[in-house]
Amino acid sequence: MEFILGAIGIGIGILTLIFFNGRILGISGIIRGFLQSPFQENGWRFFLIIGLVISPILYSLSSPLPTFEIITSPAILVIAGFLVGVGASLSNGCTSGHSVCGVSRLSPRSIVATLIMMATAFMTFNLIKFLF
Amino acid sequence: MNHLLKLTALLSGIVFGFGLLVSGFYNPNNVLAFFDIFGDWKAGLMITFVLSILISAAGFRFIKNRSLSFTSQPINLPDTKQLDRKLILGAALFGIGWGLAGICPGPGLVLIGSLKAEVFYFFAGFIPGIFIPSFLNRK
Repeated sequence: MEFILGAIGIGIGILTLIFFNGRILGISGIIRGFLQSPFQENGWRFFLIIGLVISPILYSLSSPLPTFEIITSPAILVIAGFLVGVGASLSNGCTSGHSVCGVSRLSPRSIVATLIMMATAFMTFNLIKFLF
Repeated sequence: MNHLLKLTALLSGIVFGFGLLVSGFYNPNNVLAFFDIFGDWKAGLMITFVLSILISAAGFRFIKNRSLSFTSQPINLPDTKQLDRKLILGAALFGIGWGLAGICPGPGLVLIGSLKAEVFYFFAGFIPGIFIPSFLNRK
């Protein structure tokens, strides 16, 4: 059930932004645009980022967030963040922009990007698990 | 109008964030368990993934023939069709990074609000990373 409710939230979030602001919800592009020019075009990027950051705080008012640890080491987190950043920037999209918005619009670029992202992520995880 | 667009962007972020929270997508351990196909595979996020695509598809279909949003904003839809080397290389690098830590940018922002201090290491790599392609292009 939580997987279905989660999808409804993700879908409504995406459709709110396209229906009202006329924008694709692609987080990496939004972060890049925000850092280049934080308050241009009504500052919609700023408000969207704020919304995402405060969402767990609002959510925890009604039900407690699960406790968990981030097990990845700091050095690997920096490397992972770097690769995700370079990759999203080069391919002009990430999980939200390509894999949800782009695939839902049947964009050939997004479909190809999603298949490659998924395949390399599955391979990387399993290769590391196999080696260590 | 200006304020309405700020509010809708804020609400979009909050609701999208709720989706990542409820589904568990924001928790890197769940994403890594989703990658663990040969081990104790947790495939549930596939449901979230496919269903969120279907919901978005219905909405994008609905606005397909409109050029303006409900608030008379131009609708910005990318229409590049070209499959180039940058797209393929970028997607591959993204996938490697995503497979290493189970964090992508949206869940990363939710983790900031969840007060997971470790996520700052992720952004310490991510933020320089997103500017590198345009920096190299400029030269």
